[in-house]
Amino acid sequence: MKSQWDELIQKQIDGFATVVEAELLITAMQSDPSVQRLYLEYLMLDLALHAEAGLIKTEPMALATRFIVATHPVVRWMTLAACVSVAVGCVWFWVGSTKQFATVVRSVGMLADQSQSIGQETRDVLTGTLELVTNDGARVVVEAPAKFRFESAKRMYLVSGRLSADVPESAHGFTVVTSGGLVKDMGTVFGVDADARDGAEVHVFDGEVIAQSREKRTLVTGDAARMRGNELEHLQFRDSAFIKPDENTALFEGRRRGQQDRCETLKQLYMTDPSLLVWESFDDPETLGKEGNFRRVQGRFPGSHALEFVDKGDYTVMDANGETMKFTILAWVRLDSLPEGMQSIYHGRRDYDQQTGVVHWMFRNGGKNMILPVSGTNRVGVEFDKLDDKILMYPASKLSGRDTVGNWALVGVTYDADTGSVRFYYNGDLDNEDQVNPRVAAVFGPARIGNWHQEERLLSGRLDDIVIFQRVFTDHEMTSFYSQTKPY
Amino acid sequence: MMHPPDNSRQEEFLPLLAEIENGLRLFIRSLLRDREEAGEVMQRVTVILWEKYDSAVDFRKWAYGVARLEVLKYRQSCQRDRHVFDDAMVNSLAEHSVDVAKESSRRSAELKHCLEKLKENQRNLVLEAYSTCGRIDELAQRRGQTPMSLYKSLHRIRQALLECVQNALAKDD
Repeated sequence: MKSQWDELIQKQIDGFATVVEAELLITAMQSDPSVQRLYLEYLMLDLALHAEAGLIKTEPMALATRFIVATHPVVRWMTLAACVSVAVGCVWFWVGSTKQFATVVRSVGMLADQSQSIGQETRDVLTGTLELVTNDGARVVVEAPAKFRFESAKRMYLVSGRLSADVPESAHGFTVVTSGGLVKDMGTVFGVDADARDGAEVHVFDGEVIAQSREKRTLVTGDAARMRGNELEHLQFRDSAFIKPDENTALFEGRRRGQQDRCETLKQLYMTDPSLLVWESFDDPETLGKEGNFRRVQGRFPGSHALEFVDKGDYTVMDANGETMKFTILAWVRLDSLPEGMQSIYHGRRDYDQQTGVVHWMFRNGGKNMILPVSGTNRVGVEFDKLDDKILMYPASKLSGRDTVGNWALVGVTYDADTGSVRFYYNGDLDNEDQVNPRVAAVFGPARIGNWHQEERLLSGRLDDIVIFQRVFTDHEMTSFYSQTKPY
Repeated sequence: MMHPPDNSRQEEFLPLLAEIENGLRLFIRSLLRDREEAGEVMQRVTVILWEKYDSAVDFRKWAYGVARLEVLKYRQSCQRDRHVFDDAMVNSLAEHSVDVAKESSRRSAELKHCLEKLKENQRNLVLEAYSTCGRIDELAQRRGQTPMSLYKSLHRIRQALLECVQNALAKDD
């Protein structure tokens, strides 16, 4: 029963058909119902093969729906969950269970289709985020990499990873257990990070929880504590270190619009740009961890990576190895907070050849008399430094760096030694233009990413791509870069 | 907002959904570019159906209407709102989706038999290509083939599988 349309239909289904081929097929389908039928039959085959291949590996629930209906009442709820199929799944390892404690309502950037009902099985979330609602209505966003299992609808064991939980009255008492201690909801929104270096962290965004290790303590809005078996230690509150449902929705929409693909396409294009000095994505573990303290966490796209700096002095190193009269430097940042003081993003080492023009780039406030011009606080600034401190130039943005707290934001600076112009950009928009004089070559040698000082510097947050070009981006190019690389 | 479990509502809703699920999925898939997009819209449609379910309405008709609207919204939000299919075509696809999906369990069973009839290397190829991370270029590299030759093999296998399933269904009729 071969048809002349077999090949074209398969190309269309696989997404390889050209516009002309697609139009040809559509015309045929409009005029000949048998072509339409064949198209649907191939689609059915495609869906069935996908399920068949998936069943062999992970036993997804989607196909099981019709077999589950009309069985146990609890399983009927599972059935609904199974019906709520997700487009982009993750590789987690499914162990069958007849109990169901939560339902996946949204997943972003996972790797394969999977069950939507969550029972007692242990789940490995390898990439992306998973948003689920417990049977009692607690809404939980789990961010990869993470591993968890439910012991009941009211009790979740977070083996590793981090989550945020929004717990309504109906789910009062919802408890997250970690190896360091447990967190019991008392009507609240909170976050738990089980990947902390030393115990687990709890941060209370709104309301009240009981944090319990060996001792028990009530924490309220704005409180944070580290639980480590025997004690609870006060921590700096990091509201923005957790992805909450609203941001998860934005990430979902961004991915749906193809932002991750756009970013990758743009990156591939720029890789051929001879002026590109470095594009550090922090995705290659081989290039990380050689020096410094940081956490490796999820970047702004599912499956990508970012560095997270939390404690004083957290940093890593890079060496772009370049000297240039013009540059554009860009970084995607997601700050948890921005304390007073100077918080480094990129800090060329002062001892590097004792050169003029070593680039320092930081969020800072105006409290230091060395900073010129002094106005406003927490600006995105760039500093060209010289060892003898005789030439100090500190152009700065107008916008406060605090505008970047809590969301992914693109900060960028261009420098042109010919004109002395330094231009600051925030999310692709020009924020301020400043001048430097004398006009020296900028040096990108060995540098610290993150904090360079262990006593007062506290850049708390994530850093995704750092990109440096040896040319000046136009305003239009900066806008375009932002729109193509933003996550939402 | 997801409703909490409600046994009586579920008891009504789930069989209705189960009855049309495969057809609805096929219909949505037929209007969109790829499985991933279709999965996303199916997810959204299922949630809407659950949240707004009203036992007084003709469920199938309503569900297909919701699906159609959600596909349209999705295409618009993705700036892919070219009217690829006209209304008559969409209606026709909806109708045929119901027909084709009616046989889905038989098709699945026959597909298993047809897969067994394939040569082992063909069966492995098609299942691997459809498995979780089965990217054609990576798969081709692993098998020492060019992506194009691998894709052609896959094309022939799928053609053979469809023919095998069609023959089996025709025989049973």
